[in-house]
Amino acid sequence: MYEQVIDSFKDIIDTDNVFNSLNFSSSLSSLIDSKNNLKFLIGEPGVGKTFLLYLYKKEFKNPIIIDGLISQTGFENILKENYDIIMIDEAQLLDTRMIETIRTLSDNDKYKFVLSMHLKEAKDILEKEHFKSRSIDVVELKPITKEEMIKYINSILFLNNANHLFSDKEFKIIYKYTKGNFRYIKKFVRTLFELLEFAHENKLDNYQYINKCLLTMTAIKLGLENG
Amino acid sequence: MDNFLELEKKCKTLRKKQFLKYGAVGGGAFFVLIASLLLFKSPKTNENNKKHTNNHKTEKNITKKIEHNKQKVEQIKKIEKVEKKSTPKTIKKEKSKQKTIVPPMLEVEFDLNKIGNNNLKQTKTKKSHTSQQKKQHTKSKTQQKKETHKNIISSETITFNKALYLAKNAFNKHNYQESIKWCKIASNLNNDSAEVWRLYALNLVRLNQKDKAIVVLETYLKYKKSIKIKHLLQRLKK
Repeated sequence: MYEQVIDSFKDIIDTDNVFNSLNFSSSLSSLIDSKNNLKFLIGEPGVGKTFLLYLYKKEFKNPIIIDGLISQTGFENILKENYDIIMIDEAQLLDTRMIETIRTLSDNDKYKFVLSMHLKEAKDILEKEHFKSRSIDVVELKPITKEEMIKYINSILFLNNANHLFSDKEFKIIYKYTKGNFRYIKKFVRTLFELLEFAHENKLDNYQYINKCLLTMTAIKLGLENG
Repeated sequence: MDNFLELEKKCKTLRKKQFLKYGAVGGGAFFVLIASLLLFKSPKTNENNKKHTNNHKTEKNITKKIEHNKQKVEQIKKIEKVEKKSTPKTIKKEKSKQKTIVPPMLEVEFDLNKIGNNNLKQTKTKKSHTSQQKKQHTKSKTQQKKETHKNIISSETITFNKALYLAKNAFNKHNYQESIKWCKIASNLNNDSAEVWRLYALNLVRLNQKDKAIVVLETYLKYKKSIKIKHLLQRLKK
């Protein structure tokens, strides 16, 4: 019954269906406007940094997104390819030596870098002396608001012909658990619909509709609530 | 979804815990509220208690005073009773007659006479009581009367009493001219007083003006009736 809805809330990056939140659009525009060769995209885990990187990627003809777990040789090979921009996701996983080479290369206009990383690690790196002395653009992606979350969930439900499944109180509970984190929101709604689907299949009368208990069960399952 | 039932159980226990938690918090808050209310109220109650105790003390004092006054009144009544019992029939009759003829103010002054004029008292006692025991009895009676009438005098006009008192004092000190002066002042304040007229007559007698004294007493008897005045007049005529 809710299979389509469950699929649409899977943690997949789909740049064709972009949810336009205020934070997203402002962060994207600040990334585009920045003329600096080295940019930092920082934020809490699951806030949507990777998704934003993919959106930003669209602005270039020959971009590349690599992972922070890349080897030294692999990184050297990418440098040889002459990409317009090199975006490194989970950049906190890079070793200090590689970060140092990125910093030195960014002095040359030939290379442009965007390092996406978690907030805590980014602060530690930016406090180091060789980064302090340079001008670096830092874009922080913040969690979405409750209203944005409601819009986001409703937009996806609308595409799946499943409108008005949540009340305001239920949205409030979801936001309380997810705190506007995109990844958590997706996970939460997906798990909730999985439980609802199970209740429908097994004809559990108390769980035919979304209720407080189902929301709590979802939170317990995701580890957001201590059962 | 094998763990659906497990999740359901966990959810229920969690909700119970939350209910207990909020219940405990709510109960605690309620308890604190009541405790604070009681604490705020207690000083007032202490004040009230203090006030109450003070009121109680004042009440006690008042009751004590009332009891004391009652005792006094009872004592006076007892004395009066003793007087009534101890006084001879003749005096009783005198008194009863006086009561009928003379206004109450004169009755008071009759007793004042006893205080001031010792000679007259002695003559009276000699006439009424011959034995020594009776004399002693009358003395004690007069003393009691003094006490009682002093209280009554205090309720009268001070100026008349003062004048009468001074007249008697002067008479006792053989200062008869001075006594006459005070008798005139007293008679101006209270013309009905037989005592003043009597004292005035006695002063005249001491100043060897017996005839004038008789005239004075006779003029008084024209307007008022007084046994004492009568007796004195009879004595003077003899």
